[in-house]
Amino acid sequence: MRVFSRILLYVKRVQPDYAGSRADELLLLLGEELKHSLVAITQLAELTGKQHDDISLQAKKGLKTIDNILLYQQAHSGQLTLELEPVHIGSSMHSVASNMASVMKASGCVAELQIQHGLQPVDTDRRLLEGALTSLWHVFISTVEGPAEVVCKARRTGQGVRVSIHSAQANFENVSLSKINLESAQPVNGLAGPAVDLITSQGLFSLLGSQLNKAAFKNAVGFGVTLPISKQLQMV
Amino acid sequence: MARILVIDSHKTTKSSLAEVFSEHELTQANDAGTAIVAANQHTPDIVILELSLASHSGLEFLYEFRTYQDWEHIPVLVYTTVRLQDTVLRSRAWQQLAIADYLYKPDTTLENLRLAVEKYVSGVSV
Repeated sequence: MRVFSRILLYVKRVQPDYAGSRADELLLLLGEELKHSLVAITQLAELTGKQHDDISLQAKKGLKTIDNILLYQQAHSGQLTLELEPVHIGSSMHSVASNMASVMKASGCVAELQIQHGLQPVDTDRRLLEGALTSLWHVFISTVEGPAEVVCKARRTGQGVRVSIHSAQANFENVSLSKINLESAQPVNGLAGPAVDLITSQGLFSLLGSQLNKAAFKNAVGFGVTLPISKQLQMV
Repeated sequence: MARILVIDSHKTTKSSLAEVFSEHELTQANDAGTAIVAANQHTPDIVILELSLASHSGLEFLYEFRTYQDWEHIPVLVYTTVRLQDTVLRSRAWQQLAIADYLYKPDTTLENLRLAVEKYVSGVSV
């Protein structure tokens, strides 16, 4: 997975003029090829039983990461049209938590969802939103040493619905979000590896018109984003 | 026991499916051309198709497969690493191919694939 993200970052940094359709094509082919290898690992792990849970976990996580990178790339390059619609953030949070249940369990993490009652729907593309949230969950799963509780909160603010993720076992105080983006190939302080999941999450939220930023909690610093409330429903 | 035609060019997937469907009569093909020949020799009860094949795409196989009247009603399960957009899955062109199910490999365990296949072949005997 690190090799994959490094190639992506390398192409975009060293050859910005090449970062058009050829790079997109290369990325797509690379992603598809890696998916086959990772699927093979999950299949073998399933057939051989539970002794390979760790390997399977890494492969499943890798598959989701590739999916989200390709989702970003397709949406960014205009191959994927955004489908904005009113989305109940609670249903997306439950959907992401449910899809990640096996990965969370295998990594020793427990998800806790805190969703404020009566939240209005937000205007967003469900697929990008859930991809961004999944990538953000991955940041925590990769960082915390299990067992750990990861809390995902949604609450109403003056600007919209604020979604944030944090864990008492992870502190991202040293991470500077302004210094990381898809054009940078620099290592990110305070995060393992190239922080591809954080970069992807930031990119996907950015395509949705929202800015991922740090969010302070009682004893740790996590990440949060504010999503605009559906204008259609505001008018009703 | 049912006749299952697996069209996939990835060795590990083929050997995994051979193990999962060991109680059935399994025929495997690497590409669209071999698959048509195999289907002609032993009409399958169900087809498991990867869209990303070594030569030609799985969709080309499907278009050709559906042109034969005898195979019109054979269920085809698309089991692939290719993520299709909802708009494609809802499109008329996709509906016309009469695909029984679309299963995205990264999200589908072998057990879930087995259950999906059994849904279509239970009661079938070769």
